[in-house]
Amino acid sequence: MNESHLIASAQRGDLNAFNTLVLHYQDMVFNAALRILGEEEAAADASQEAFLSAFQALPSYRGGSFKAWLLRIVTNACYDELRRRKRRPTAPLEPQTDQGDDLETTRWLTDSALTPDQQLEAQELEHAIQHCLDALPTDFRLVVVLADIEGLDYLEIAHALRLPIGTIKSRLARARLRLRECLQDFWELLPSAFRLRNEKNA
Amino acid sequence: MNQRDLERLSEYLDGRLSPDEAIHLEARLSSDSELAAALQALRETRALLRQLPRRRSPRNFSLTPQMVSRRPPLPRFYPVLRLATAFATFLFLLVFLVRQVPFPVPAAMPMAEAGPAAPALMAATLEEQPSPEPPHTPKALAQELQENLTPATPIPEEDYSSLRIAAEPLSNVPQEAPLSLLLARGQILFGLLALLGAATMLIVRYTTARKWRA
Repeated sequence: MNESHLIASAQRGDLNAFNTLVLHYQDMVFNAALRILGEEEAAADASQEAFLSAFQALPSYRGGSFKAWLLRIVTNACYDELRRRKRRPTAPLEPQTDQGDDLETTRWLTDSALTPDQQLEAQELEHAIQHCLDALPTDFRLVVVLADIEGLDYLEIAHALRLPIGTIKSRLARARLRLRECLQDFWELLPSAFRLRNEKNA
Repeated sequence: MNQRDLERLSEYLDGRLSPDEAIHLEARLSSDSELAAALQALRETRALLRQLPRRRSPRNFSLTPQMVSRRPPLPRFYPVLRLATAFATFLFLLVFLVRQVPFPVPAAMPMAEAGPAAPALMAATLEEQPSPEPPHTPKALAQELQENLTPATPIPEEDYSSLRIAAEPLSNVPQEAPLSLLLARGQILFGLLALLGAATMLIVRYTTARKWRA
């Protein structure tokens, strides 16, 4: 049975059909949540919440990319989780100046505040990237995750986040630049072969 | 490099520039090494993100029928409201049933018309206490009162007789009025409380469901 048939069945309340879609998309949804939230357990909870919301919202699905529609729902679930965290802050995610403004640079990540253990952990490519993603403002992180990790195009992201395409372009460009600045501090830790391969692919 | 240049580079990387814009930017890139380096940095960053390892979900997110039929979380006070409404309904029904059957009033049951005589009221109080013994006569009650309450100071004979006189009229008092009035009022009160509780429950459920859907 193809995807559109499964969606139509699920819209009529067929839970088995919906669960077939869940099995197909659950890794994608979990990865998006993981990159946005940075924590596995929170990402799993947000994914579960997203699939439940998706099933309940299925009657409002009007075609188009089902993947983009699901990513929009998981993004909302992540937003809710981030709002909850903001109400119950445990540690500051972004450094602020004395005036309360966000610092423009992310170089604070590699200063002496990082313990040797954390530096060791950050040597791994995935940890380094996740570290830099976490340091991004939420609005930038959402755009870059949907564009460069989940592969949505500008229009799909604009639809998912309910923002104008111009805003998406601007945030994506600035998010990439900030990530680049942050990763610069880890660049020497990245495998040289990886860099060479990127350059060839470019 | 300004913000607009940065956005153009990013769009160019994604193939989102028009052919004319792309040609114009490529001409600039060939002569501006700083711009070319920025493009390369963005390209490498995007490639890094694209090559992030895909994690497998730690558990299966399939939905169960129980999860799907989940109802909106109701306020914490809702169970208390439900219990109070059920209790009011129960009392309403109880009073209703009691009013349907003839209610035998004990002979010595005190009524409002019994007068202010203190010994009579005390005798009535003793009568109301649950006791396996057969109903007391006023005389026996007075005797008991004397024995239980004032064993150290015996009541004089004339006081004893006044007790009997005060208690005797009780057996002739009409049995209905205040009790049935009380029951009727109770029935109305409990009925209103039950209706109020049910209406509040409906409103709470409706508003919670609306908030939940929003």
